[in-house]
Amino acid sequence: MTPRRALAVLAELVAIPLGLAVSLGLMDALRHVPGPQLALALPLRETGHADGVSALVVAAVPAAVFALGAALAPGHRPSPPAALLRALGVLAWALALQAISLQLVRQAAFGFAWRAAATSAPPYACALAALGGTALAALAASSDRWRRHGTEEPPVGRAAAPAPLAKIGS
Amino acid sequence: MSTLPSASLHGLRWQRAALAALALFVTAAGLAAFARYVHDYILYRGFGPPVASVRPAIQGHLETLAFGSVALGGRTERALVYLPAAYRMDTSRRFPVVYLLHGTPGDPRTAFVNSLHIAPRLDLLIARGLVRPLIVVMPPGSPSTYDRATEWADGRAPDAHWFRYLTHDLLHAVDGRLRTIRSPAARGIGGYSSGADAALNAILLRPHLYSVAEGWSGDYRQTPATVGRDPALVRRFSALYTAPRRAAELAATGAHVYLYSGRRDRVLSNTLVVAGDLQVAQVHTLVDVTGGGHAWALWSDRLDGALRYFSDHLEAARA
Repeated sequence: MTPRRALAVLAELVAIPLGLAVSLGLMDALRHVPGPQLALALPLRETGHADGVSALVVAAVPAAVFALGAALAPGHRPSPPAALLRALGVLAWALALQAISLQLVRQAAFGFAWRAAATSAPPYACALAALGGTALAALAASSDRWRRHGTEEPPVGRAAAPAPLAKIGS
Repeated sequence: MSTLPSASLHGLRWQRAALAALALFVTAAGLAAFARYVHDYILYRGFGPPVASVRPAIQGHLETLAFGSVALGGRTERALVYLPAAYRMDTSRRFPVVYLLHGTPGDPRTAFVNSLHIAPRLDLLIARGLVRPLIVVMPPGSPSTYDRATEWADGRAPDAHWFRYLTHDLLHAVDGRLRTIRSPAARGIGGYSSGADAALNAILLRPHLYSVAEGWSGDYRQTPATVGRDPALVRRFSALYTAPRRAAELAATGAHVYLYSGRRDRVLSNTLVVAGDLQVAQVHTLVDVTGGGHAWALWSDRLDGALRYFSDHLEAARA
């Protein structure tokens, strides 16, 4: 693994929990938005019966956060497998965060908290939204590139015809 | 290879700078909100800040009672005290006292004031006539929130006699400085988790001091590590061990005991064993097995009933 590649992997490892924390914080700030609620989106508020968040917020916030992250990443056009891997990373972190929160709140055995986390919808919703956001960023980057280069200029990456060194004749 | 025109490149740079600024703003706002979300849990255990339930004229108030404890090596401890509105309205009246003990880790403010909202809930119960006016004392059971101390038991160290601090030093400070009814008939003690263990220990080992005890999700077994793994101390401060031996003496005082546990709580069987021992000895015992685990939601849901149990079985305030 090259140092550049290792750095990219490290950045990804930091970006996922950071993005999740930012998403959770924003969802908490937007918890009063009306609409159909997704229960246990804010597990640390379960005791006060205020753990539900509008399904729209749960879908939109992680999507926007991870789209922004993907748009800013160098070489910002993740391949489908990379986007899927990122979504799986989000799911793993979201499940872990959910289990730890439920264990704190319910003071239950750790196995019970993991089962409760695995059967709650918000971690999966976050992962799906992150996947959607990443895909959206990739699409936007792609269309933006075509738009910027126009029809006469080939997009960056496609081999352009070499300019002639000298004209002969005429 | 093609190159971008300089105007396009300039626009692209601006676009990326704007995106970076937006990302920075979103990250900062999101992290600040996340910190607040976690902090709210640490402070209020998910319940949110307490809100007044009655008009100011009939609200009780919280005070801090500082007192020196010989049992803790002369250290000054600060207990939180809830005084009902009647305490300031009628200065000639004396009131029954309930001691509420927190679990581990914990502290009285986080547990009872911020999380269980003891003041507004008592205000409302008293205003509706469901609970008679009483004083509630909430002492700390460890040097700090996350310090295990000895779970309210007497430890081996000379300055770690938390049980003597609870049943002697605190009691004298409260009776000496507040208008309490100085009688076991007007003194109750209860708590959750390790506070429940301590409440049962208090009434079993000092039956002449209290007439009502409540255990909310206690396991009634002293954690050996908290008392230096001394088998004698573990036995002395485990109601599982002392209940069958001391229940008859407790029954003779006419004491009342209320124990409850969540159905999903692994300490449920211990609650049932201790309750069985007390009932065999004819101690007035109410046992309640309810839904839930070893959790704040359960303690909050059962709080009104627990306070009413104290009120129903303690001597009422008198002039």
